Amino acid sequence: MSENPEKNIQKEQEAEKRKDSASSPLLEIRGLHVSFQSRGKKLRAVRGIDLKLAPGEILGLVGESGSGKSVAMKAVMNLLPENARVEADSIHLDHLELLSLSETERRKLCGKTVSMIFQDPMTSLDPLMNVGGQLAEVLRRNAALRTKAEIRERSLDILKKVGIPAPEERLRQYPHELSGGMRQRILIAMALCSGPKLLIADEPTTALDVTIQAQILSLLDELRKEFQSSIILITHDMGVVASICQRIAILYGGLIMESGSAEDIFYHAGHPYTRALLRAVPGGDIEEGKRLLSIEGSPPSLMELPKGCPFAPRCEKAEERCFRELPGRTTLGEGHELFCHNP
Amino acid sequence: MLQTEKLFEIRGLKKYFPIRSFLGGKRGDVKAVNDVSFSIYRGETFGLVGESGCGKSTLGRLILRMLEPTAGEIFYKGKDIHQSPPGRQEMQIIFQDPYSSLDAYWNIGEILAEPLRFQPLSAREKQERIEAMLEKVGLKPEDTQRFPYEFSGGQRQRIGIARALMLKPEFILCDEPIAALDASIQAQVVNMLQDLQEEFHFTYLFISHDLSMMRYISSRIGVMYLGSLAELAPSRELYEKPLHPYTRALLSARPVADPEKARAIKRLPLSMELPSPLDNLPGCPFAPRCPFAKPLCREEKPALRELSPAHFVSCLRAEEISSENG
Amino acid sequence: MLEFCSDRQAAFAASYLLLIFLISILVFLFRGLDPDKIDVLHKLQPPSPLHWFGTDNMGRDYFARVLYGGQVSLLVGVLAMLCSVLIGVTVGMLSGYFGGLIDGFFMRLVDIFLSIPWLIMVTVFGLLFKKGLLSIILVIGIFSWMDIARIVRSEVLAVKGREYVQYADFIGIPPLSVMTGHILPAVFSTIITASTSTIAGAIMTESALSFLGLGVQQPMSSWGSLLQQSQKYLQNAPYMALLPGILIILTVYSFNKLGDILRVFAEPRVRAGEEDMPREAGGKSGNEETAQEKCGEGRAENPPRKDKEREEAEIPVREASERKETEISAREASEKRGKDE
Repeated sequence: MSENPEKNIQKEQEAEKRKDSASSPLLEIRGLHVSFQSRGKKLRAVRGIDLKLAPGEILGLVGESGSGKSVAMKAVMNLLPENARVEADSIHLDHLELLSLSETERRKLCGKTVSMIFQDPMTSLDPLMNVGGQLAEVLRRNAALRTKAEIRERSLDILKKVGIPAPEERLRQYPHELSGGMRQRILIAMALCSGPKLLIADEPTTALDVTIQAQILSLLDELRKEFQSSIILITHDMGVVASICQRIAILYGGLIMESGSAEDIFYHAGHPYTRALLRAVPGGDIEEGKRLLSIEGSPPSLMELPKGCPFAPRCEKAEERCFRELPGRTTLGEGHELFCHNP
Repeated sequence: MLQTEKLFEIRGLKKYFPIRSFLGGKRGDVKAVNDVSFSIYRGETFGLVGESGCGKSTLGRLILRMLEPTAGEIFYKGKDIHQSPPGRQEMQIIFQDPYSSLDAYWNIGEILAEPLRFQPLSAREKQERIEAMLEKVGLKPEDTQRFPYEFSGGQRQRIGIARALMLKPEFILCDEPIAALDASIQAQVVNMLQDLQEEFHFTYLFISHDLSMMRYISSRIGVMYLGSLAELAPSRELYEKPLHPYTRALLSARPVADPEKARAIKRLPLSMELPSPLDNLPGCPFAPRCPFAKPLCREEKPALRELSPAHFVSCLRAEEISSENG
Repeated sequence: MLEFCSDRQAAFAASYLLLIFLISILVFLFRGLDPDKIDVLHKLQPPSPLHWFGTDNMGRDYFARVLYGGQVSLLVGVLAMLCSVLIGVTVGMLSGYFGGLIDGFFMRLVDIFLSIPWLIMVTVFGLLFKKGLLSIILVIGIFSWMDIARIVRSEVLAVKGREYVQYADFIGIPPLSVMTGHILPAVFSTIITASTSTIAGAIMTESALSFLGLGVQQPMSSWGSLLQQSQKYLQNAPYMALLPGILIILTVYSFNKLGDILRVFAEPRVRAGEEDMPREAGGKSGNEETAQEKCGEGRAENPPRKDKEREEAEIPVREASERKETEISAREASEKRGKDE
């Protein structure tokens, strides 16, 4: 009941935002549900999430495995396998409603405006084709470049942009000759070829070493500034989102638990899960010998999800109501939303 | 330092893996561990940090004699382990991957009974010990009848730990035991390992690439780079006064879960290419990536030297760099 | 079980094999059926209520001959399979587990056996040994274990890299126990599949041998030898070739089909469970990975970090899995490019 006035305020704000077309979101997802049919059992991976992404913004999608973070984005990109069922109220991408488009139109649109990079660069690159060939293929398709000289020039240009030393040499190399960090850069370069408005990076640094991870993250940030593209960064690491994301959404059990600006999440976290997560990550300056604050229990099984809040069984503040019904939305501040009965 | 008794002393340890060409001829060696010397004291947690390919896992396995070294000596309680090998029950290992470390076709009871195979115990005694150990790691005695697939990753890791503890070993090699776990589960496992150490006084060799977590766990930390030790120091000292440029780079690159601090961190610019371990560089292995490298660094191989008490570093310019950069 | 029944071909294959086996075992119960009873007056008669499948050139009841022939064919198939699986699994296990010189020796042996034209060898063996069922079984067994050995070896190499096997080695479990306790169960499903197709192959081989006159000798019959005898009478009694021919085809098909089905069942629930139990753990399991794998992404989040040097040392171990990954990645890459368009 207490939500209503806040909801109204929010609606007004939204209405205002809509008038101002420049700040209208690049991607807006409402009520996204994804389920899988597996061996006669239904597995609910995403259970109604809303997301908004402004142009030029980096959104961090944080969650543990099984939280539905990758599945949600793949649903938007139409990359899910046959046995997945996707339902949504609306998915707006770049002023177009994706749900009303046909499969091919949607694929075309997504290919032009969205690029995706994955965790393991090795499996996303063709092992039998050299880097130059792979870049050329993408450029021919997406940038309508024809002549060899043009393609070569553009490839070199893009490789330089993603910070690859000696690009001429790289063009001749095959993926297995490159290090993990270099491969990820090549993949980012390929993703940039089409000049995407949105880049979805699914755990782009998980397979990399810390020193390389830091470089890739700052590269993403630079590219966002240069190309004015938006980025969705899917990760399980709070440290990764802290360094480059403006907005963060925390997922758990297929639901968004909390979303807000980086400051909201890290300094004014409202949800017990967010707070517990922050405490469980070792910080920079906590004394040695002190115990880590762990979250007891383990994440829920997607096949037997609890009726109430998915985090309730592990939550120290859980009440009877938390086990009974799903929490609704509470707005804490502008853009800071929370799904908790008992924040 | 409280721990003074050396449990392990490692001298000049080397492990080279030959690389063979297509026709079987030798093309060169991968120097996975290249002349490493250090000691592990009884009751401490020695942390070994480094990026993938630096040889930390190989080093751990050499100590457990799962691999034969190319050269060098390892002393366990003062005795050369090759002349008088310690019993298997004195050393154990906890693996990284909770999926491939447990046999999916065996139930938990069978898995935990495996290390007890050579113990002169009756079936009942074994059963009792297994159940007691399960409770110790936060599982139920009834779980002996269940199979690994019925457990989550964190629980499987607990089973792996229980298996390592069955023989009450003196020394446990923890080979990235938390790397494959979710953040909320990592803390559970780390806390449990620490509680168990307090209770049974194990000595841990803890291998990890996660510097932040390492600080919680270890009393001393060794930083490895391309097969050799770059720096070795008590963990607080290593974090507060890192001497080796590589340690500085690792510390500055570590993700911090705090946006303001993350923005404030000045990252040490490193060139990104790791040289192949096949290359035979005459100088410091880190020189090609080091922002402080001088021509001398590429020619002379630095030795591990004690710069301040218990703080070892292998960098020719360590003093200069720390006086320049504070 | 549901899937099993829903697959009609599988259901057919299973019930057909069951029927054939039952008949072959219980054929002695049909007292009236004597495959060797000669009745010269009624030779080459077409099928009739008295002789369901007609009679052959010596007036013997062809129905009885086909049934008894099936007995021989299946017996040869099963025993030859056992013989070849025994050799193949032993060689594959030893070769894969110990590696080094042992591996080198056995794999060269496999190469040698594969490069011998077996038909010639079989002919030579046939001349050397007494012609009989046992020598046919042994000959087929001895010349068909190589594929099994190779498959088992590559599986063993993959399993050997798993940490529980490393652990068992580490705590000093004797190699034989490691092989029977840890490795055999893990490669069991492969062995099952390989053995069913080996039965099929053995039945074919036996038929071919008998057809060439090197197999089962008169008066004993097998499907292959029946086929051989029927050649001369193709004009006036085509059913004599048709019946054993159809039975051979159906049986071989059913065994092959059975292999596909058993593979799914021999992989125990434990493995299946691993995939669809959505739990936590660094993204290495849980539904997310399942979902991603279905997307063709291959290994999903957090592949266990393998130090480079270990990778180098393990290249042969990882070959098989890598090949799979490469396939997936190629597919993925092309998919991605399609999407990019």
